[in-house]
Amino acid sequence: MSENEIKVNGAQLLYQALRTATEKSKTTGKKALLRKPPVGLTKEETSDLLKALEHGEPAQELKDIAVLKGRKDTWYYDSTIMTHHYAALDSMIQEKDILHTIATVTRQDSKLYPKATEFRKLMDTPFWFTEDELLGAAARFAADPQYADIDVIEASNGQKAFYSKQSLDRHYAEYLHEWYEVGIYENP
Amino acid sequence: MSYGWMGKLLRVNLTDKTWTVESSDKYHKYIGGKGMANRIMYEEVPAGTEPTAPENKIVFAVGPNTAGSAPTSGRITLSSLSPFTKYQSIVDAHMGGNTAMRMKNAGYDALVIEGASDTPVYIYVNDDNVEIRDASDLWGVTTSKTVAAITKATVPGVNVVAIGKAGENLCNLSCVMNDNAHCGGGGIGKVFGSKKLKAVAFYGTKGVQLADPAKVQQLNNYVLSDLIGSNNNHVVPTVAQSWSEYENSGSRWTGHPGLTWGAAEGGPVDTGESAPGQPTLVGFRCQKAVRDRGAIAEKYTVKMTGCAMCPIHCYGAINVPQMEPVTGVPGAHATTCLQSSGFIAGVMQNVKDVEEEGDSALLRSLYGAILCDDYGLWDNYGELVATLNYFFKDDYKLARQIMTEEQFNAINWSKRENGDLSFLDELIELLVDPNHPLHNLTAGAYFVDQKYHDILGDDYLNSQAIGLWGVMGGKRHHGHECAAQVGQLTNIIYNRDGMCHTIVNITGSGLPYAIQKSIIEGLFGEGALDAPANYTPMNENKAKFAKFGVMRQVIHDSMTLCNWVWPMTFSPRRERGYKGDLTVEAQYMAAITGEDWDVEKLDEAAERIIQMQRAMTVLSAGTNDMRNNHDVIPNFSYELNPDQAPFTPGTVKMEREDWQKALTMFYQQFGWDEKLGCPTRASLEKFDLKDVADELESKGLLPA
Repeated sequence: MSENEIKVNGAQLLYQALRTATEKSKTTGKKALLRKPPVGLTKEETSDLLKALEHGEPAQELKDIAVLKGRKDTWYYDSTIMTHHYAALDSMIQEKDILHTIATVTRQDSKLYPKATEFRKLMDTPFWFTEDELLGAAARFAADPQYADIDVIEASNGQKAFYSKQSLDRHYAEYLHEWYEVGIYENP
Repeated sequence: MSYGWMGKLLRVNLTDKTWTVESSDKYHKYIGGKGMANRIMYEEVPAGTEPTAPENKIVFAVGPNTAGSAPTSGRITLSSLSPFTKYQSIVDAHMGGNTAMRMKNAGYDALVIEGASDTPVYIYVNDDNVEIRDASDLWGVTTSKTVAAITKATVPGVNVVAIGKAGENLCNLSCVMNDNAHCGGGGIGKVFGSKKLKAVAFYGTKGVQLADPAKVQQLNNYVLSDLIGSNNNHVVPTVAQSWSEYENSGSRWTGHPGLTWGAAEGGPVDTGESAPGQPTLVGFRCQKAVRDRGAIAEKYTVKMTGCAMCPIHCYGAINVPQMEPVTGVPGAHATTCLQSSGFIAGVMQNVKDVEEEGDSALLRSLYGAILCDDYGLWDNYGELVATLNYFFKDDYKLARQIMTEEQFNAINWSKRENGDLSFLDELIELLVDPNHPLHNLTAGAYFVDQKYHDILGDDYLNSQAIGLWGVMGGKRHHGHECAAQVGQLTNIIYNRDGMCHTIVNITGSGLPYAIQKSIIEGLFGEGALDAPANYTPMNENKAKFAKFGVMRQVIHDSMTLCNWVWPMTFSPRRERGYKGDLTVEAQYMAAITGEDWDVEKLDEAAERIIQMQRAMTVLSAGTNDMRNNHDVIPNFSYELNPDQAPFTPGTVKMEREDWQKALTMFYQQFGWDEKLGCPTRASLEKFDLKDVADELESKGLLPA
């Protein structure tokens, strides 16, 4: 078996591992890959393939694999079946920085749609935060200047949500949250 | 041979119990469905006819596209005169289920019911065999039992359209039901009742002939792979999925990994990810039971169901075992949207949980829905329950004023207050009892106000609590809370709630505002779509957008397609930049009929229908001043958020002068008189409606 064949097979093995994770809606972190390389690959071989990938010179078999730099790790996913948006969410969740995750999602929602980010959104897939975790985060936001724009509102049905003052004033955020929680069901 | 069309119109006269078959060919320029039904009503029912008079008619009509396999092509229009809104003008009931398909299978594009029977009857149509059968034993029977009895008496697979006691006892707010779930409203049940017509049953063995079946199949695959989303064509899932760039809790694309049909036969079925490009997974996108009834409904969901030819299936079929011990009625039912609220169940207070936290709301709404469906009581999109609560508030202040003390005390109000659902059995019996004052509250808001204006004053009709689009009595059905003036303008075209989903399908799609705005401005120009609850003053491009909204609805209700899903303005595919395809309806018409249909020709036909319908409204009103008599919106639209100005973030408040400007711009789009809002000779003759113009002129209703 030539050296070239080994490299090709190694790239295939890595691709299969990353694609299988992507199919399960999971990004794969570099640290975990190097800690436990795909079966048939050494840590060094894996590291070489990932380096080439990060430098924009991937093996042919890895051309669909996208690289996402997180705060704590580098993440990989098959971009033909997973969006950058979802990969960013999943990598944040895996990095377990709840404040950063909530603030990032909230800022996006407030700016894009625009809408507040319901607690129940953050308690559902793929986040699965608990209400206690969210209430705890809300308290910590209030004390952390880098998250001074994040605040909590409540609709008339008692459902809470985060919003970002960078994009919405409180009154507007409250209207939008009330609409999504109550109005939308009264006007189906 | 005529492709798409069955070529026949069935006319049944209930007075002399005869029936005839005619050609339906002369209605092709009205597309079909609503257009054909409205034209028949125009030609055959003189303006000013009482809705309950034998001279009024009921027209069932479908179009060439109906049941031709296009996704959601199982809709039918029933047209008649409105019993419940001001002027009692032309009104349509758009209905799903299997009626449209079965009528076409029987070989008919339309059924015209005229005259009135002295005794209860039902019409049974089975291919070329038509019978008018005695229904004395079915009078007073619930709609579901009527369906069962007629099915047993005829043939398995028959589709039965039936009224309940509400229609029989001439409640203005009454409907017809088919397949125990699908409702045709608009007060059409009362017209059935006035003719002593308990039901119409269709069965047939004929297929729809397509001019170009291969093209139709290609279009079907294209729509299912590239264009369709979920219910209301929402193209973004509620929660993040690996294939999606966006997620929005307001979307009706509720299916996602971990959310199931919890009570499915053989065990829970996970709705999973259903990325674009996988037609066989489209049916998992809409877990509507959970959307309509909350998370508690998941474990009781047997499956999703819906209309013929529909891949979305927006009806949540649920089975709640704990209901029967409480109510005596099995808790199995399928329903969707507002009907899931249980209509009159909204008057109940303090209903207690039975087996788990939160199941009280499920039981209440489910029982209310079953009752209302069985009685054929129609809610006018939430107006009836709003009216009941309006009369029951403040310790029944108004209710006491419309009843004698004896009548009031005879009602066990404590059951209501203590959450005893048997109160609903008693309430609905009183609502359908023509001798009880509460029956008057089923007359529709306009007539409720007419009867009780002395105790209601101006507040009732104009209040946010009742929530009408206009003082005509039609309920707001996606009005100014949806795309500002655009949404509100779509309502004025109709003589009931608008049922126009073209616009709300866009604003509710789940896509970010910037993407919506870019696509809509690409179609209609700058400023056509405001950000949610952050409105700007009226402009001409909004008027164009509003016209598009109603034109597409009329196209869908005529050809037929479901306007709860169409048009395909957006797509779930990011590769398309989320742009849909607005040529598909015309492509279907061409492929199915083999005729030369394109977008322009379809638009022309749609506008012909709207011009005619507007003229019919003018004729019924006896005035051509539509601006000041028909297109009047309630005061609450201007009075929301008293401390806030219109056109500021966080309010959908309207501004009086701006609304008048909106009307003017909208009238201009149709070539109507800019002051009056009525058709002109020019606007009618442009669409081959000279006969209509002549009639308006003969009655002094053409503008100078």
